[in-house]
Amino acid sequence: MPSTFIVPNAIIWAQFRILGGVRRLLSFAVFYAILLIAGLMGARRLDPGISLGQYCDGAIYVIALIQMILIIPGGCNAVFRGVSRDITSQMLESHRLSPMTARNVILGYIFGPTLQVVTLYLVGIIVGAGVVRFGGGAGMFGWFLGNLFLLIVGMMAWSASVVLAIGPRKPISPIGPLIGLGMSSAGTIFFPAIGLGTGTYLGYLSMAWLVGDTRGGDMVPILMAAYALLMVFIWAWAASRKFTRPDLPVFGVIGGLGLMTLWLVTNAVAIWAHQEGDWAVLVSSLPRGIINDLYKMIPVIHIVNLSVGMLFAMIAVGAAAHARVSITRGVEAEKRVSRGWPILVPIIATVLIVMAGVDSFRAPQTQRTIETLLATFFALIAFESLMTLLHIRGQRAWTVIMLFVIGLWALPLGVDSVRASMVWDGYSTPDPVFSQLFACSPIGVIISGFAEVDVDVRLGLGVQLVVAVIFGLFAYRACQRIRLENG
Amino acid sequence: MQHQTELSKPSTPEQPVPGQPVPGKPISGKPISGKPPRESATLLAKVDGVRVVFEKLVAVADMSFELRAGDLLGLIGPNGAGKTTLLRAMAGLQSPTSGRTEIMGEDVFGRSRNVRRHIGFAPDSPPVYEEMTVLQFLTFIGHAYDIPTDTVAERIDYWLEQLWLTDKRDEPIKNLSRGMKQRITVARTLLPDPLVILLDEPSAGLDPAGRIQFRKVLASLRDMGRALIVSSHILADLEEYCTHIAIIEHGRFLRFGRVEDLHDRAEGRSRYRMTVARADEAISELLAGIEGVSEIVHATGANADMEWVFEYHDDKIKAAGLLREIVQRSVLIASFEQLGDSLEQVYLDAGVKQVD
Repeated sequence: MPSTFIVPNAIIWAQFRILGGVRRLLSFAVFYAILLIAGLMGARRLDPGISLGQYCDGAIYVIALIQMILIIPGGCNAVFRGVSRDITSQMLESHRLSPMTARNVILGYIFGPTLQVVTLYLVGIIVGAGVVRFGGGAGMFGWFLGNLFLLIVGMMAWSASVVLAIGPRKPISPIGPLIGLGMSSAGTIFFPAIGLGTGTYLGYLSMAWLVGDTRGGDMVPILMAAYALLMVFIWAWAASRKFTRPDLPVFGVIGGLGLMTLWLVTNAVAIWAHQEGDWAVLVSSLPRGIINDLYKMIPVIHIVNLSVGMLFAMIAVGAAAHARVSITRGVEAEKRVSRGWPILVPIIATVLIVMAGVDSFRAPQTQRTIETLLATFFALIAFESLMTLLHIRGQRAWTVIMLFVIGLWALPLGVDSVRASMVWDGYSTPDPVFSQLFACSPIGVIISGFAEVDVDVRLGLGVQLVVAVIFGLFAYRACQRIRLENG
Repeated sequence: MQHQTELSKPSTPEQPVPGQPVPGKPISGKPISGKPPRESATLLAKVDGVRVVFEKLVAVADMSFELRAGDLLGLIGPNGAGKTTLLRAMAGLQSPTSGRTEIMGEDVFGRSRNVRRHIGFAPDSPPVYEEMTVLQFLTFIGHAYDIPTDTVAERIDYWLEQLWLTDKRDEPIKNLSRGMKQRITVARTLLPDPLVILLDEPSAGLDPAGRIQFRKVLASLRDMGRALIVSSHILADLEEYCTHIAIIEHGRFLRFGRVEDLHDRAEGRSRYRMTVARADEAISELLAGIEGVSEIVHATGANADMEWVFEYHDDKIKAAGLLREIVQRSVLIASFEQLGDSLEQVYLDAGVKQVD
């Protein structure tokens, strides 16, 4: 009779039972330990010519790799399976009925299904410590701290996996995004927010520590670990929100603005650090060649940073549009949402993006700054109106959103860039000359504003204003129709 | 109103839960039709203008009613009528487009832990951890509801016995039939001893003996002063234990009231069904012309022009006189019967249509 509860969290207790209880967890752990030790001893016998120290140095790489595979893809998969099984069996809904707090449920989903993985990981730490003792790696301190960093990266990935499982209409396996992240991890050098926010930097650093390369000094790993823990909090908070109110987007207005700010600030701070010569401190574990080339890339990085900031703003603006439709429909639960959000959010997002641009580029012209403000605001208002229309129709039309971004933000820029490069002879002007079409895209205005590309943006701003007004009118009419229907 | 803060073993009718309404005769709610409610009973649930809209479909249309201690409301209606959505909105699982639901005076969507402690909701498909045994699963529920460890064992034993699950306590749930899982869901719902109990198709999958036992459990809960809503298609069962019946269609109540009030025919009247051997369109006019005959309904479909249902005096002599009069007018009668006032008849009389 399981009358005494082993763990205080009910979900962890349930997952513990589902995984087979103590007996099964321990038998797997013992079996894994035997397998690992036997494998190490067998490999040693195969190659008796090398010294024990050399052998252990090599073996620690293998154990570190297994630790990483266990914690990251293994843990994420366990979390995903645990949550999606509860969604299918409607147990997740059953938890919603119970007096358990959302925070407890989400913590349960992060730490419950991973119990088996963590048990094996602990076995790996102990076996690895033995290998380190015989000369592998660079000492116990590095081995244990490296494992701790890895666990923090794992926790971040597990909490993101919970969001991927309960956020979308159909759970998304985290393995695909993990593979994508792994393949594109080199690109994270340009955008520290990706490297820090996804744990790529800390993961890289922890692997280095595990195999004996304790690079990064004292502060860098601590800062990275703190950032990773912040991300654990953000993902867990988002998952709790979705658990409590499944009818709302994962990130609301505050969450969306927070994510956008985090993105902009992290990249801006990193770029400052780079300009001050401290860049290498932040990403000390990354290849030096790329870092040296970064100096030439800075304006491009700034522009992409601001453009991606606009994409993050779309989360907050989309949530504001959702709130607008809910308020228009008279949804009771949305009455707490400020009626001012639909207009305030695009304004706040615009100001934050332009502030990040001003800070990054250091004192651009006032007129350019105002033009950038206007372009960003028009773009976000048009997007909010589009999202209002989509929410009214009950659609999550990713294709429409993609078409909007490609058609109105990327296409004018792309077309004019191609035209400019085709007509540019390389002699008569130092750089390609862009036309007014370039500024029909808000990104074009940002580039002209901050990267000092000489383009007349007046026509472009006019076009963007007209687009915003047209979308705004459609959204307004649709809202009016709902009000009339509701009397 | 005192709240039951410390959950304890559910009381039997002889052992009322401290601080809870005294068990007694079922008390009426606030019906849309029927007798006015007895205000003395504690108000446990209040549904106030709840409206749930899914894009363009109005699943629940501005419903309002109250449930007091000892009320047992049977919810009947065709598939897609909005029964489940109403129950989910009351349980706090479906956010209403407008309106609010209060349990013990608190808004369900305030997500107060106290409110959730007092709502028990059993959906139609049993949510269980298949990998656990029955005992482990119920222990988990006790854990999730913060029921003290020493109390939870007693309660589990009690409900396992009440729902005939005692011999299955150590059986993995995945090995059990759907009916057994349904009982586990009911046990899960009742284990925290909620005051408002919402059951969606609880009898589905139960065998006849299980249904009988389940009826007793519901009647016992009703008499203990809980407020219950049971959605079911088994009308005979509902008629037996419900204090109120609501017939729902297109998210609206077609009928709502005490069971005895639903038969809204005048005293001394009864319903008759007449089938003729040869179709004759003139029979409607003939019936309408006879004094005392009213509410004439002409069958459609396969029995068109062959079958009529109408009201007339419930006196057998008068009914025989009516039959004689019809025969004298050269109508070839195949059958003539007096219809009972079953819930099934009330449901059919309400004119419910199948919802697509």
